[in-house]
Amino acid sequence: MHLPKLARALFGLAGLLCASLSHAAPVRDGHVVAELVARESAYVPGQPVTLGVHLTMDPHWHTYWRNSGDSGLATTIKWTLPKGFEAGPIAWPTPARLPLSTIMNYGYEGDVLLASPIRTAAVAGDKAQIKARVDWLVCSAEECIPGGADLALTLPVGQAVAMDQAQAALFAKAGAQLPQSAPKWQFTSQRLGDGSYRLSARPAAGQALPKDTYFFADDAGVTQSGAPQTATVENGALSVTLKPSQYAQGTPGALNGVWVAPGGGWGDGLSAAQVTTRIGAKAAGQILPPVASGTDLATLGGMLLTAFVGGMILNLMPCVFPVLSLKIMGFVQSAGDDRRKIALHGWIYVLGVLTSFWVLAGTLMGLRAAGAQLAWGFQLQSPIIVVLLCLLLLALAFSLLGIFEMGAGLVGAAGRVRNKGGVSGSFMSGVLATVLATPCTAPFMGTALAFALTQSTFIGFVVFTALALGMASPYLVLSLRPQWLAFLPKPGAWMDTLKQAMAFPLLGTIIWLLWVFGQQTGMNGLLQAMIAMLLLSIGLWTWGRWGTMFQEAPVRRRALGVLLASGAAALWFAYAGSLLLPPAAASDTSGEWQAYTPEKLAQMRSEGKPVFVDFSAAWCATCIVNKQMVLSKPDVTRAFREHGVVLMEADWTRRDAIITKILAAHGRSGVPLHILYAPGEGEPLLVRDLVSKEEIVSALARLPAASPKA
Amino acid sequence: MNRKSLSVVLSFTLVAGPVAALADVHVGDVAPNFTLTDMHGKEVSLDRFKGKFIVLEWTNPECPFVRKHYGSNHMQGLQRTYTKRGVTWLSINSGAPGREGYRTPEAALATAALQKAAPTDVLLDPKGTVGHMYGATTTPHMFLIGRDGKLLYMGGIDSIPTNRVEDLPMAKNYIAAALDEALAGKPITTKAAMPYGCSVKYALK
Repeated sequence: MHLPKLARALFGLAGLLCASLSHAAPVRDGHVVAELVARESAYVPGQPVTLGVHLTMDPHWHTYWRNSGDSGLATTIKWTLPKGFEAGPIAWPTPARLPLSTIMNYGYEGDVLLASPIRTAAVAGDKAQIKARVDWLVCSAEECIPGGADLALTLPVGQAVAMDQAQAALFAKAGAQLPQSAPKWQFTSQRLGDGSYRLSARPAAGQALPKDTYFFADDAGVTQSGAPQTATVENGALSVTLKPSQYAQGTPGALNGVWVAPGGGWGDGLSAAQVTTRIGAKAAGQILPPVASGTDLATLGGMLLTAFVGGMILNLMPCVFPVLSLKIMGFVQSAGDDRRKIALHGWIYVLGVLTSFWVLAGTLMGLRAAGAQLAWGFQLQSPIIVVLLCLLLLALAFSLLGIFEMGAGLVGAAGRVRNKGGVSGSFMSGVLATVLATPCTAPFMGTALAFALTQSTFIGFVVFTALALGMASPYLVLSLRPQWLAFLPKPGAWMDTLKQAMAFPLLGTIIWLLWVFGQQTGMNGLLQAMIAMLLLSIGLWTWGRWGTMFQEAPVRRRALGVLLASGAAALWFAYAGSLLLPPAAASDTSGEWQAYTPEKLAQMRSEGKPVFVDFSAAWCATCIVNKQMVLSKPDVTRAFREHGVVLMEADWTRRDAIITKILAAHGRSGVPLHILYAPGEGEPLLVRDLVSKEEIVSALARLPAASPKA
Repeated sequence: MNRKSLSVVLSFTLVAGPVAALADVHVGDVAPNFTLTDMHGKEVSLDRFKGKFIVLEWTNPECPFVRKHYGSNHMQGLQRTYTKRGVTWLSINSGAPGREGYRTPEAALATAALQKAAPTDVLLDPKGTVGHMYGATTTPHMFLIGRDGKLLYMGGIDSIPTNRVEDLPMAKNYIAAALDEALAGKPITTKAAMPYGCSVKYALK
């Protein structure tokens, strides 16, 4: 029976040839065997086929998923296809978690099929020569070895799509490992106050919630791979909290990935759900206006009014007061002038305020666009700005005291504050008023500014404009209705006295600024700043004594030389001082107050303790007043003690990215902010910028079960 | 609490904690201080270099990604260029004894000589304390600390996460860019980027 035997041999050979057409020989490189395989035995022109790279790893070696986790590298496939063919993305099977020490990787052990859909040319060609370059990183617990292979395969043209029986099982197995969409579930994600993400799954009625889930994020730049994922069930929805990545670029807009619920936890046998969500902002306590979605007019109107009133209140703030009093003096001096001229000055002043707010808004918007986490008051978080303001105010005060006469153009902006005649003087005093106003985040300001920062650039500018108009309005009203100036005293000899007296609020402001500077740079920084001020004083005094027009030209030149030299030395000391750091990195919080960290907050809450956090900064006058008038009052401290409240202080004196983020999460871009957290996970009981004793006591009364003092 | 005792507490927490999770340092944070033994067997503290720009480079001489940068003399070039400009460059090896890339001080000295490496110093972190403190996950993994002691950059060394030397010329080197900007007194454009490479070979439990 030779013939059947031969026939069988021939058939076998033909079969072998056929097989070699649809998949070429496997290639081994290092610890991986790679093979290019096709699901179909032939292609029909214009109909898609599925090709796959099958990687088989040696035992205890693994290759990586598209997000490799904390380390490692995703496998890549580069196709070389005939004309008219096009490769789709890799359909990644659900990976496994590969933890090693504290490092979490996502990948595959054993074997994996990385399949890609391939579009074929519509016009019938010859056999398709397909090449794939595969590169991988294969790692064991101990070492990593990069590898790769050039794979090839020839796919003949067929009349009808036919599965390659030899590969069907392989593709079927890989297909079963692919994540699927879960139509019965609604997935949402939110950014929480501490910067972490909450991913939630809400089922259709009757669907049970899965247990022991794990979320594989697509992008390692959004969430941390190694962080534990804590699951919570709330109102019938399952949520996991995911820690944010330190490597996030800008503000991530989407949270996508594969959410695994073992044992068909999503129902209908589905274990791996494909999740795509847009990250929503989470409002806690107070309502943060919706971002991106069209702002409704009522909200905008309310915000503009708030901004306008907030701007008016700014005039009463201690940091604007010195400049305001200077301007009132200007009023008095020009009361006898032409009224239209006064009105003109009023409008110019408004323009000065407006321009500086616009510049500020433009800068803030630009920085926001650049992803910088800056916010209102940031000028005073920079020590160099603080010390320069000190020097500026010192010069102003000396000028008011008559120690020297400020020449026009010498100190430019500041000098023209008193210069009643110049239109540019009105403009510059508007600018100066704005610069000085920034540290005082009046109660209304926080919300308006945060609102502006969450809105489109246009709306942001509109809000800033309202703020500016509010601030300039009292001045404008007086300049348009000069008859009201009649309420002001008549000019006279007392004006010089008043002028000199005006120096003292300025000197007071310097004390406050120096104190801020001391907080930022320590005792040595403070010393440098005071040396700078002494040097500037000597220079200004010399100039005032020998630099006047009554002196000979050479004397004047020498006086100018002294002024410039001492000024330069002052600037150098100021700069050197601003680089110093206070001895203790953490702000020293005395007594019951401890320094805030998100970890400590979470820990205290999980231990069942209520926590009160005071977000403040040394340069924030409002914060300090609030601390003295409310937080340190005996009845408040007693109430805190009775409820076992842990007190934390979040110090924003210097720029702090974490605190900035938390302020933003509560719709604020400045301090003060006070938050009372109940034990556990829930929303804060109280979120206020300015807080009263009554509010604290009544919020404490709402604590779940008041934990008595241990 | 001064920085030294803070770091002691930190390391204590890391050793004592049931799960030594990776630390959570972010750009803008004060870089935590630490003390490690260097390749000469001497104790070196980070705060000794206070006031200078400091580069921390996590390394493992046997990792192919590290070899991409050393085999091409690229890393050594960066080390020479920037140490000459006054930057302190500390290469840190957090490999645990028995794991790939672990080095005793003597071996580390020999490795550095073989590599013709030119960092300010090579520090050894066999317990992984400092690696965990900074959340170092890969080799290489780069950190730049500013003159004020705050982190200016953290993450990958460049923009092309491969082990191929051919990719070096096309890649944007993030640490070099950050250093150039920092030295010029400019703000850092890219403050963080995903680190890539081999996993740091911390002690296995």
